Amino acid sequence: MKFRERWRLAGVMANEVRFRGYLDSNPASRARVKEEPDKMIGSLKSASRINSFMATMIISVMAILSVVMTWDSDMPGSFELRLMVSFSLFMLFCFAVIIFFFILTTNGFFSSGCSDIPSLMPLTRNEVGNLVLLTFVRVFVTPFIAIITFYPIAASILLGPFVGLIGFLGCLITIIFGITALVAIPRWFHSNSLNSPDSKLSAVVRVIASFSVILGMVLVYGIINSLSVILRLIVDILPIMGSNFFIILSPIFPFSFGIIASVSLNSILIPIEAILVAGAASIGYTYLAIRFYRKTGDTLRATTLGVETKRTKREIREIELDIVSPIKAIVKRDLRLAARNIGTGIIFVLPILMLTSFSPFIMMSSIAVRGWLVVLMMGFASGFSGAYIIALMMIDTQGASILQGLPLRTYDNLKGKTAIFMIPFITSILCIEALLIIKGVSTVFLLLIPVIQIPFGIAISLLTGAFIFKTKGGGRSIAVNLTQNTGTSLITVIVSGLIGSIPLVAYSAVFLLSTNHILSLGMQLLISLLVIILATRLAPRMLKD
Amino acid sequence: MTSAVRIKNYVKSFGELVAVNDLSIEIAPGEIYGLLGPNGAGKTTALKLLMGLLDPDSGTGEIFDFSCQDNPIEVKKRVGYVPEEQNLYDSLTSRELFEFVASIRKLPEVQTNARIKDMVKALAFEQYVDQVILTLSQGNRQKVLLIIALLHAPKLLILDEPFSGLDVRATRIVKDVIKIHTENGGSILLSTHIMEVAQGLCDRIGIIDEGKLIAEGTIAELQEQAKAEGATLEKLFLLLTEQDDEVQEGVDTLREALSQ
Repeated sequence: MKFRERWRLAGVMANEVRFRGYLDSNPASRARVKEEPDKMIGSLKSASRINSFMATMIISVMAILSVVMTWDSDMPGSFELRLMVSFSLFMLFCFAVIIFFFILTTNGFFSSGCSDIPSLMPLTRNEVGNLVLLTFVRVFVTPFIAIITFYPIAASILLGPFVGLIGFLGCLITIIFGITALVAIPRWFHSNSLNSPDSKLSAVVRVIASFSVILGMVLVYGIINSLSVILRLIVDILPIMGSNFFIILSPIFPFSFGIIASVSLNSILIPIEAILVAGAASIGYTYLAIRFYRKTGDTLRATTLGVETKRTKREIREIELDIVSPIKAIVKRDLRLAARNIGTGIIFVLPILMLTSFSPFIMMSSIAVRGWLVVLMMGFASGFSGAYIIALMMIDTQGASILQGLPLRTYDNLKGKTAIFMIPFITSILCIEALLIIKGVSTVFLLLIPVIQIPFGIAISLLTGAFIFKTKGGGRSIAVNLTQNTGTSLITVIVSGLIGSIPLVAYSAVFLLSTNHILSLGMQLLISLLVIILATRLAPRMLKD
Repeated sequence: MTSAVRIKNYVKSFGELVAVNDLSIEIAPGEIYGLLGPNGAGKTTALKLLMGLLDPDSGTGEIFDFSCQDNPIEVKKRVGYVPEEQNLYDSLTSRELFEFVASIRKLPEVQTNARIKDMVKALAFEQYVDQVILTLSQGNRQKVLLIIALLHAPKLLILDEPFSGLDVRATRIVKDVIKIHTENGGSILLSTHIMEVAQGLCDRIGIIDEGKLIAEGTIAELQEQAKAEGATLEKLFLLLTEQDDEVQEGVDTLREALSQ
């Protein structure tokens, strides 16, 4: 089969994968697609476009930043050093973007059964594997094109064709490595969950894996935000480590490509040993990428054809059901599902993400401004809570057939989510409290602001959850996907931020008028309690069973 | 007397499509009622309205005198529902799912455990109880849905294509379960495409087409309505939905295409 024909077929299959992925993450759409097909296809197209646009925007901004950083003489380090670091970090960033943005879609890819029909056709295993890989590439085609064009073209124009060529090769290899990881991680997760669903050790390993993957991505984002800091760090390290610094980096991907790109500009900075090692490593990585490309097609074909389980004979256990209260059952279900799916596993990571973004502010702020910082951070935490509530609702993408027949009140479902939400909410606030105690505050009253905010988590969760159910599901429970329903996610973050800010605004207003901490805290507490009572009355009214 | 199901003039539209059009049905306690219709006739929409999962544009639905729209929780307490789609919690094991359902329904532990043991044994499902649902075949997933629907010993079973994917043994068991359920005073609302099953099991049959109930009654009453004495339910169905000639035309076209 000619490439053109395969590419066309892969396009048809890619549309199916997107469609199934969209339905999987928005189960409410499953019914609507029969009734309002045009509207649903329109929503699917716009969701796909928004996702691709977001990823492409981020990649293009990063490509521009990297090139600008190389040319910006105000930045620390020599031109060659800046080129090496910026190009390497750009590749690292693209790798992170590929995984972070598409890991959920890949999960859907496995269950799409997209290779079912091609496998029935008179095609060889290799041809089917190739077709599935092309489909995979087509699903993510826009950001992939952005990666292999933006930086290489900019580098060709500004730094010459050789740097552009190395840039193109490095970016292409980054994509292949990204695809390999994108296939391997959910596949391992999937297989581990299926083969030992009730093993506590496996559950712990899976939770740690989700932590590592998502936290790794967050760290990379953090690194990118601090490009100049990293450069300065390298410039500071260089005199201490000397040429050993380059020798250590030279075999490591993506720095080997960064070194080769830098050398092409007649760099005198990098020692010959490092250049040789980087050259050999780059050839090695290219070879590895070709191997991965071929193997990934086969893996994808095998995985999409069917679920892989180890054929171990299971012992038949006595059936003794452990029946608990409905709220506890919802909590158990959500935690079990989250621990078995890398996408929903994000609920374990979000609180840490929040803490990592807060900690630097507390650590770096002066004691004089720390009071207002606490108020601001609590408002920010409330907004962040919205993302966490959405993450909890992602879990409901499964089980529609079960829930349809159960006498489960929507409000009870929301209370179950609230119970889960409160665990990380309280933990995060206590961690912030600990940081404040370590760094010190001007008055002990400031420590009470987060403490009073703790019970208010109930109001944030109930009202935000009810808001989502009301606006998206007409009052009934509905699943929302953090990455696919970007519009709803954004609105939810704003809504939860606004709700969470109510007692903080009350505190601030009274403090500005009276400069009395006790009075301000009293008002914060009073408003908190009133809104909690209001939330428990209002939320059930917004919902429908 | 309290009806198991009472639907009065249900209308439900999606945009310009009228999925359910002035539908009225009444099912007595202990009765097996078969709802038949071509694909897209509105059967599943009607069942979803009855379960309170969709809101009708007009009309009312009641299950044991509880309004399906105003009191869906009380309705669901009395109904065992097997939906057409099999959207389960794929990464849970069947045992975990049964625990979840029993907990939400607040079922008594001892009684439920005894009941589930019997059901699992009868459906030859013991070896799959600790398997993740994703790894189950379509038939075994259907068994999971059936066990869940029967777990709380409901007074009414609403079964939307309950036989899809079931093996011979399980099909036979489900048929017997349906009979036993009605012998004990329970009612069944069954939607199926298998005419032989409907003919063998149902006390009364309603045929729905383009959202409208076009015929209703016992087999004898339907034969009379279609003026086709002694006709099978399949023949009656095709006659009443005016598909008989279309089917013949389709078969002729296919025969011609396949012979070339």
